[in-house]
Amino acid sequence: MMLAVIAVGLLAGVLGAILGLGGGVVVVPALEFVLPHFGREITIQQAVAVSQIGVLAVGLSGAASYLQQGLVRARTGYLLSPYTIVGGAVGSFLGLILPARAVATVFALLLLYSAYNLLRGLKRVEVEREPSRLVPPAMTFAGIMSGLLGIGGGTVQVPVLNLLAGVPIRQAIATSTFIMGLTAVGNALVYQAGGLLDVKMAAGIGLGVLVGARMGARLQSRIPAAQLKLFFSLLLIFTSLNLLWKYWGHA
Amino acid sequence: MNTEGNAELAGLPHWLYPAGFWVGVALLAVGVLLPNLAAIGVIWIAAVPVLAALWVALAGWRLDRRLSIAALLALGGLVLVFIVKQFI
Repeated sequence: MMLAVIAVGLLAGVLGAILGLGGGVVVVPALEFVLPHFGREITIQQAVAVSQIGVLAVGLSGAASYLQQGLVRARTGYLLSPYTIVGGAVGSFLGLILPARAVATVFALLLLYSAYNLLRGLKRVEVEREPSRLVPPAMTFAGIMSGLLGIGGGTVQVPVLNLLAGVPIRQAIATSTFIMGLTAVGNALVYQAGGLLDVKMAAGIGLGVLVGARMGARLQSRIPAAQLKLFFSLLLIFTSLNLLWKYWGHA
Repeated sequence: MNTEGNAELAGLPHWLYPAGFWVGVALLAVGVLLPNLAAIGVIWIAAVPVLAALWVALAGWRLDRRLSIAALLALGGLVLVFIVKQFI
């Protein structure tokens, strides 16, 4: 079973490096659907808890690379991270108390939204602008989503940093990756306190993501991103429908 | 790196994240092989961003007070979560 867990982490790391979308969006549904084949049932909240360690690994690997490239806005990141940390703690607490069906439904919607974004491409701004007053609540919302769903930041945080905080897109991606480490630490603390974090499985996911992110960075130029985007979008839609069927199909 | 980028990074050690990455790979690999030690690798990769914020807060106090306070705010958020989690 551990080899399957590491393989899930590897896949998340590779896709994250190539598509910028690979943390919880891959780890949570993959654990949900793969582990039962090895005789291990896992709830979506347990998968989200393990995914927080995957997000930590994505943050560590990404920040190492982006800091070398000089793309991280550390001050901006540290100033905004209290919002994502508090939001993340609230989201994680919601993850502990909400029924699995509710979490799965929100997650399925996130998968559909991610597929839409992959196909259409995110709206992005390349030039520096004045930050909006909506940044603090929007970052708190990004934190809630990361805590509740075990996702990093690509889906919610990057658009907030780029479109509302006025940070140019490449720096927004780098700064989001930098922040997600601190947010995931808080989230993991809450899930560990709630008894949902399987540390052995988390170590497998963390290792897979760290190695996968390095492999993905090397594979980036060799893999046609357009076809991969289309394939992954269809996979996200299929996974979303499967998740809805798993939690609502027998109602 | 532009001038603004340099100002934003004042005090943040460039070697910390790459070193944290490779030590993390080694410790997590040990944790996968010896499951009783799995927690060490997980704690390590969680400790790296916290260590970075702590470093910036302390080392940047004279170099860049605003960055230092921002890092302290981030650490304050984590301390708050740590306190609240005791009640779960």
